[in-house]
Amino acid sequence: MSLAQELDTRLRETLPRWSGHDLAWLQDYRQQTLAAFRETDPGSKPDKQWQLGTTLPRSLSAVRPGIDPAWLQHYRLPEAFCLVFVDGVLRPEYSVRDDLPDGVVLKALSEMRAEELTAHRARLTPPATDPLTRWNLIWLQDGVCLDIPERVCLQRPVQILCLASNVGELIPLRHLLTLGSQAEASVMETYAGLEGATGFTLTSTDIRLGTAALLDHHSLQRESTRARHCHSIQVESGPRARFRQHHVALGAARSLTTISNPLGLAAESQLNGLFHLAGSQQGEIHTRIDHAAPRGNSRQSYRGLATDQAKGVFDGIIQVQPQAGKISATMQNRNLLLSPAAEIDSRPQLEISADDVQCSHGVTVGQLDADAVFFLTARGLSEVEARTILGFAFANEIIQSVPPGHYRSLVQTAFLASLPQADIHQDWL
Amino acid sequence: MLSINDIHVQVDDKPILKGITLTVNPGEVHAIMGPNGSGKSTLANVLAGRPGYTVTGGSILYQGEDLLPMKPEERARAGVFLAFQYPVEIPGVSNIYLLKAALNALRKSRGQPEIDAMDFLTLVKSRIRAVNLDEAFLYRGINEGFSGGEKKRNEILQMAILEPLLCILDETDSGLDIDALKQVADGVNGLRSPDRSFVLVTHYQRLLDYIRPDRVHVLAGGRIVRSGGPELALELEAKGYGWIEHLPQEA
Repeated sequence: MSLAQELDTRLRETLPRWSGHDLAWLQDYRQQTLAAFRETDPGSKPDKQWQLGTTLPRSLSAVRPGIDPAWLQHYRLPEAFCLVFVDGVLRPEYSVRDDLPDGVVLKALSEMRAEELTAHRARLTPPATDPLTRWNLIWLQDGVCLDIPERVCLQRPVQILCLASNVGELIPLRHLLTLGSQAEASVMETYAGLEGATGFTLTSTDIRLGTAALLDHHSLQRESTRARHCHSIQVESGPRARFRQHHVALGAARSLTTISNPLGLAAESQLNGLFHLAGSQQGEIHTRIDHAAPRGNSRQSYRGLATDQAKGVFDGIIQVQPQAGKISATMQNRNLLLSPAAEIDSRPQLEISADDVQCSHGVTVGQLDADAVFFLTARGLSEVEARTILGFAFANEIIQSVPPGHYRSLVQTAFLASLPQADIHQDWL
Repeated sequence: MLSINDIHVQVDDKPILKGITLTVNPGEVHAIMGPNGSGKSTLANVLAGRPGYTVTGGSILYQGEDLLPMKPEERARAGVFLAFQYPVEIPGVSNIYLLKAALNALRKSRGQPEIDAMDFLTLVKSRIRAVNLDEAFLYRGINEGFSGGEKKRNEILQMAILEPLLCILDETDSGLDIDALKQVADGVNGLRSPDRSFVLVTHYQRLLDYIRPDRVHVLAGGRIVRSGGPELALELEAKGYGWIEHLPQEA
């Protein structure tokens, strides 16, 4: 069977229960995207890296295993509205949506009727120019649709909890988050994998913020160290909208997170992020802030830690369009190499086409401060303990930019679990 | 307590200490004075075990044990404490975490259980008052954004909680205004006891107005050129360091 035929068959069999299966515009789009995917050079870099053409999702009709309640409980935020996906499929039995305020929509794509999907047609069928995006859209089957009407301030956070347990299969997800003008919300995307899972989570989040809307968006990636994970976050910020993003990447053999955010008039974007890579993990964070209108404000602060033979990349671009006067943009990237063979590349880029702007960036790649190690050992801590504490302290400065609460301690716990020694006493923090 | 015998120390192949001999008995306060570059801080760092200092001769006994092979953490656990000249800032970990981790490391080495959380808080609150720091400092990053005086008082707080036997203060008075100096001195005086000894490394005599030493030693060119009682500090203050550089090494 040719790849095209195989895909065609798989597309049919993976989506039998979904109303999107009957939508001609969606099926046409997928076939076109598939054709475009096949036309791209099969030896092109992303294909080779991610084995896109050969990693397929499990059929939706396949038996779905139950999940360990303790595992679910570990990641679930008690106060949050929560949609749980296991291997890319909604599990309503684990999800919590009681008492949603009037007008707020929180549904899985697989639950949406044909007319609801059609209302989001443009965002479900965007122009896809790179293989990763194409592969994600071809296999579109589930994800979250969150719609918050204007002036509604959602008091409880929304958690999108995506658990991976599978072996070698694709886990495609697409989330659509929409905040009307002056709406406010807090969304936590949490990706976790069972130890030994070797699947490929390929997820994308499309965010639209209306005038003066405020979104706190958090993403935690704690996949199995044998899995692949790729997350693309696209944010369109309306005038005076505020987008605060907080990203922590700890797992996956190979991971890539890209965040792109065009800013409207006087919009604000604050991005904080962290990766911690060990063993032979490879992880990348790419950001692209596009100041497309005047008086915007963007702040980026990213940190990376790499040990053993791990490799990390930070690739950040700030673009300032000619019409975007009086903007302010900063980009900070600090990295810590904890072993001689670890490697982190930092590539900050400023593309400024306007006058009267304030832009700055700073990059450091270094090792632990010997004076600080001595200070801690002179207080009685072992050298290993001192190094662990200093690595933790470096990361914790980013973690502390999350407001105190369940989510922060979840992130902290996840980070501590990624350290080789359990020398940090979380209950003392 | 401490017996330094003809110690020679190099940094980057450059001799810094050229034969220091010094005995500190339990309960005594010794002041080490001297001009810049005389080796005062080197002596303090060698006692605490800072890497980068090569001992090329001599020996140091601490409570009858050979101190030099011990790692910094082993010295700390045995009761040696260095108050740093330049306390390190470590944002991201709170001051109180450090205090708890350090105290429990010491307790563990003595076979004691971890300190009870309530007992620890009571201890910290009583000691922080003595150095006149606000309790809010406990929850800030280690020395993060502290003023010079606050950093030095924080060192004294750590000392007060860890209750070491040999306290080495490396220019703890430098950069302090008179109020902070008094607070540091009060902290030290409050810790004086018959079984605790102090080595105060200082450039200026004024700290000794508030902490009365038993012995004063003047270091110049890597050697002790004079030793005496508290009156020696006053003499130095009056005459400056110029005259001592021409003195022969004390026998």
